[in-house]
Amino acid sequence: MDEVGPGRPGEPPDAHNLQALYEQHLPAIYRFIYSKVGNREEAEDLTSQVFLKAVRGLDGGRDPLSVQSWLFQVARTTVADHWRAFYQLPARSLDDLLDAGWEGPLAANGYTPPAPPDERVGHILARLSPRYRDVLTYRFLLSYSVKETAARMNLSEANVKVLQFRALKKASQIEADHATRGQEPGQPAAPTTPRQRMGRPDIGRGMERP
Amino acid sequence: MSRGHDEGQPREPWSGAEHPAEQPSDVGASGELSAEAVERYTHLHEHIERLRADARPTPPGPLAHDDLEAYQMAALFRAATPGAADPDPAFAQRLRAHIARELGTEAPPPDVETSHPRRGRLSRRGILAGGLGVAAAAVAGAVGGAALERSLETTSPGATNVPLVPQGRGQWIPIAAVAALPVGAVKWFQSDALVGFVRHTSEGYVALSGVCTHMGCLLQWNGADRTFDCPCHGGRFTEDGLSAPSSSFRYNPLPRLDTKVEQDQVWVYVATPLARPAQQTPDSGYPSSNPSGTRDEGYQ
Repeated sequence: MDEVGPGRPGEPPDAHNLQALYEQHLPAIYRFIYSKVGNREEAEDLTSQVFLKAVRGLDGGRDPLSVQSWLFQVARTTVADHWRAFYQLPARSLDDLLDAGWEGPLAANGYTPPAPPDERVGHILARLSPRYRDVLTYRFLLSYSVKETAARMNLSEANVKVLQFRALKKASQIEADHATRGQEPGQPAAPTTPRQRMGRPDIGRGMERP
Repeated sequence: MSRGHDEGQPREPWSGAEHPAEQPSDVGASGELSAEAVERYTHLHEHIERLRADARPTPPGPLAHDDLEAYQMAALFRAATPGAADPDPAFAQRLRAHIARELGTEAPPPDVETSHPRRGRLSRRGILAGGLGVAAAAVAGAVGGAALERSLETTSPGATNVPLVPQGRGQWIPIAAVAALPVGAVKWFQSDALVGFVRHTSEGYVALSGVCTHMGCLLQWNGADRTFDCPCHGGRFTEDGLSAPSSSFRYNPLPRLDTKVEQDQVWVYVATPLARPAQQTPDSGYPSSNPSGTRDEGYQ
């Protein structure tokens, strides 16, 4: 499927090949984890954990094609453990989140990495009301301070804090709706993501058309 | 899906006056925010500020289920801040050395922690300057662009001229005999630390990273269209390493690597394998010993 380069399908990778694979996947795994924790300190800690777990679980006969999906699975469970501790979650509520497609459904075959944060965010922004979209764009994509955002939006700083809170909540609804039900018929057409265009199997759940 | 207060209008976002029947639940009958609501906004705000500082946030304690989702969404949006979610090169290098030790592929490196500055030298700006604003531009562009000004300020075209591995930080490895790489040829190579392509152009040899700048999948050379294609999400790069017009999304350009020709070999300047003393010299007998892992087949 995806890999050219180190190792070839059917050949057991040697340690050097595996190391090259890890290095190739580091940016994607790091970004995935970063999208779950949102800061460098934790992202680096968790990324290290993922790769060290992966190295220790080394299976010499593992097909290089499966390394990426394996790494993402290790990353998912590592993030889940972290969340559980950080947010003091009962295990059940986390499973609910995962079931709700927080990560996007995992396909058994034809694995593709989760869509990267900028695409997911683009999808969400396109569906938010203008004010919610603006506050999140200013605060996150453009890194404006609350004060600058308030000035741009003609709001008080307190209002910006309220608005960003509500916008993030709305954003999570949109993400969850997308993962579980697909687009609503009445919604304006969203920009098609590359994943959709390529007909990836892992977006299948809930994407049936009316 | 369409709840009136989503359109929360200017004045006070919680005033809810336009849609009195759909007031947010955190607004009291009088339209005042409860102290508890203010506390929730403040906590999330402090959390966001920690994320923006790239620092470990303080656990918020037990949260209501939908508040939890707002925290997690904050992480996602933070990750979409241009450049924020790119791994720090110094971190990548430390982890690489650690993996090498675990795999036993290399002896423990002498001084990994201090041989490179803590972080930021090979800065995000340096690596990403060409594309730093691109993600924001693409996202904002998709939604209409009032917010573009600042992201565009950080974009400097031509930043692919900043090499991925600055001189003094890596080592030269031989990739191919000059005779094996005629003008137009493209050759895949792999070193201990990275994967790339070297291309013989009318202006000389050009080497590019072979990793998609999107999600890190390995690129494949498409000789018919003369593009580097990503098998994962439809990314495409021109042979010069720029995001191709036919790409599924506009991605950061491929970082460039320095090249030179010496002793009838084409050399590429790559990151130093951390733990193994550099052994590749022009006399090492390459290509028969194939020390850098290049494949024999070149693409034409």
